[in-house]
Amino acid sequence: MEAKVLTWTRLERPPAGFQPGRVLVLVEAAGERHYALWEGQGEPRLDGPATLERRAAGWVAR
Amino acid sequence: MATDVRIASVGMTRFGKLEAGLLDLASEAAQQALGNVKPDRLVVGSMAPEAFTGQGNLAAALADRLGLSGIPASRLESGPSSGAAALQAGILALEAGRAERVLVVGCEKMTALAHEDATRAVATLTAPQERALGLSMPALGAMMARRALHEGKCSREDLAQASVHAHKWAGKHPRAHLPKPVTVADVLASPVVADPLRVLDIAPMSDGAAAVLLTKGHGPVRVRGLGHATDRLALADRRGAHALTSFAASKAAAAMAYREAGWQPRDVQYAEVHDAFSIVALCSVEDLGLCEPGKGGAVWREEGVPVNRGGGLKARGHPVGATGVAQAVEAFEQLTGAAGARQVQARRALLHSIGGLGNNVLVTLLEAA
Repeated sequence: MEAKVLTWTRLERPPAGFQPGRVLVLVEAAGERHYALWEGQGEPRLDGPATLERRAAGWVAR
Repeated sequence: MATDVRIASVGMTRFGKLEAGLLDLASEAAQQALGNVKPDRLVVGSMAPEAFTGQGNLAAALADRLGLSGIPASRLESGPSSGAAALQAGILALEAGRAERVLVVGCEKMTALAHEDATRAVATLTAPQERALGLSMPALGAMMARRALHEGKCSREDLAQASVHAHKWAGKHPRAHLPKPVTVADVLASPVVADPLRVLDIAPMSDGAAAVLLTKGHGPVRVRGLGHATDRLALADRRGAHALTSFAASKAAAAMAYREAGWQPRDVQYAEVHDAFSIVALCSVEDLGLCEPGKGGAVWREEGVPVNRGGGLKARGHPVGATGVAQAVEAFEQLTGAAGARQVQARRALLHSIGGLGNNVLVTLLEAA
């Protein structure tokens, strides 16, 4: 579904069990906000568009 | 306030990576505050003593250590605002007529665990959906910082300056964890934790304890107002135009306290602000009404009301359960002229303490009696 990027971060020192370098976004889609793993090209753009997809492990945005 | 509650005396250990155990630290601070006085109630603030040290039943354990077994003793927990919660609980007990002299102790020993395990304990502050993704407290703060920078609420240098301020004033505090000065360049060159926040944007894990003795009508500092508010646990569940760049719970708690005291924000002459992350330092001075929107950076450049003259959480240190009480100790020393090289001229002070990422906030207003 279509979404808007509200903000994001790259985890360089994540908690144990997570790989450094993961980019997580907070997006808004259909009036709801979701955390998602970023799989898009380059860095997310704030207030820019994204496509949000639900997978077994959670939300993914690109 | 209907009852004249006073802070009569205070105590505080060094903050840092310390050898002493949790009960040793707590009793050291307590005995400084008590002198020869016997309290009739003990309230302890500590976020996670079982997880950090294996010591549960902390209030009874501390009462025992202090030779106070027999009096009512309880522990308050509200995340990193546990000390402030304990302080307000002690005040409320006096207001309710349930005590005459309340000893409030805030304490935490975070460095006994391996860093990875301590981080895991702190991660319990977040919502399940945040933890599942590795969104730690610093990562959530980083999301706020990126949004604030995008909206022009502050500059990257403004954020760094909050840390510079903290270390400058910790250098004048004999019990601070991190008294060494840092520059904006140092902050911006420190390793990235969660982009854009770096190591020097974030308060350390510390050990330490602080204590105050509360009484009715006797003491040099008077409590003038209390405020306490919560918000949705997950950052993603908050709504409103500024949900990602301010804390509604801080605004609500401050408004409640100001209303009780009959103060306006401009009446605050000194503030202890919860600066766990640089972005929280910037947002909080605005949320508390201590500056105009977008002008938080000026406060941390010492162009407005004096704040955090003990070094704040960032450099005085942040043994989480102790912090809210340590803020009261610093304000007491400021209001009684006992702050030495850190002294400001103030008769009215504000204490601001945040649990989680803005989900459990307490504001306490004090005045020299």
